[in-house]
Amino acid sequence: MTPRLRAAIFLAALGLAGAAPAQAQVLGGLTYTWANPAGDLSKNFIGNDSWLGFSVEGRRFFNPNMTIGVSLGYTAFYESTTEPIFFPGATVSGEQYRSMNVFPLLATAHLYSKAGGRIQTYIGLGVGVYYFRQLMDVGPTTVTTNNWIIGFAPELGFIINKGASKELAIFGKYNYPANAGKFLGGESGSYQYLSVGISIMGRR
Amino acid sequence: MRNILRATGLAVIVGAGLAACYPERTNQPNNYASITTIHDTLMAFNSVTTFYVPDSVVHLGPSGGSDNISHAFDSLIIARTAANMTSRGYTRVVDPLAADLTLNPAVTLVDNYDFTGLDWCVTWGWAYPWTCTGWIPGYPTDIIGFEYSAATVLIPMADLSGGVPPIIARPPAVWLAGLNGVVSGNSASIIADQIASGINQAFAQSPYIFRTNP
Repeated sequence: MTPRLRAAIFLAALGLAGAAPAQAQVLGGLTYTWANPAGDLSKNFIGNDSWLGFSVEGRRFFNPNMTIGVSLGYTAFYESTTEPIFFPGATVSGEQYRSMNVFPLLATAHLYSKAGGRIQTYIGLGVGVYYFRQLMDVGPTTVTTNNWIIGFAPELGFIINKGASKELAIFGKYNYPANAGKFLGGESGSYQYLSVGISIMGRR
Repeated sequence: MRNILRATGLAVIVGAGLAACYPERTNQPNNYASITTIHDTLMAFNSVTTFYVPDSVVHLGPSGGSDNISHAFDSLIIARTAANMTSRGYTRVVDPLAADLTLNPAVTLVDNYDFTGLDWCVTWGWAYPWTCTGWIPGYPTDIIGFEYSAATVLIPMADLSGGVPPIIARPPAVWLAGLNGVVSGNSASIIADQIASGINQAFAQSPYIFRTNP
């Protein structure tokens, strides 16, 4: 079996083979995201979900069913809490303000289902770096950390009004940075989060 | 493509602006009430048996500075500290030379008090002049430094069972509790409640301090 045939079977199995927006060369959009913390982010630092997230993305069609692109995002997690926080050799309880600003910069690849209806399904994968800016206020003290960590983000989305001048897409993306860095207390961690967003996209 | 570049630029600017902004954050410095405990991870707290607490609370501030913090709560601070130590299985002694652990409760008089920058003799020398050797040890990097507001209750604990500097190389401070800013700004009854509950919380979040399981 040739590699091309194997790929075709794989895509067919996913229901993704078929025609795609033939004339469109570039797909770009602005996105608003809601995000829910997971992994060490929710376990060690912030449990609140985030309603403050944006991203911008550009995708170029590599073939009719596939795009390669870049994505730059911003998500802010924050909360005021009295829950104790534990570091190696230290514990803090009482009132604290905690914040984690995340900036993912990812190279992306997406595969699209066959065109035809108004709804088009796609799957994607982003690979790149996440910049984390962590901050905690306690009493008069503010402690911060900054980390650049590699990671990846699988994605499932739907273009819901395909063919319109401005298309809308909804998607879910799981951001999975590596277990690395040096966060508060000197500890490494995998500060993951699930983001769900809506994009306004245009084609050129 | 031009539109995409425009959108990218806009997003970068918006993102950078948002990054400088922390939603719902109060201004700094703030008056968050907090209890911080720091401990020496190498200390075996169940290896010692006795403790000493003096009968007064030292007020920490610049020499010659004014002291407008009340001493009315000294006895409460000492009593709560001693009661928590006793409940963890330690025996209180009246002779500091016979004690393994010493706890010297203090109250800060100034803001931005940095414990790690503290002069060793200021903390311990008033009660234990033999610790003033002229050599001020640095604190280990695994003891995290926080700054504290004025009117903060600090309860440093030292393990002097192995001697004092320069006999020992490692500073014998093994635990520090900081009750940020509790001795001011409220009625006496509220301050007393804050002190008592704060000291209890400091021990509650330090489960490693025990001679016998509480």
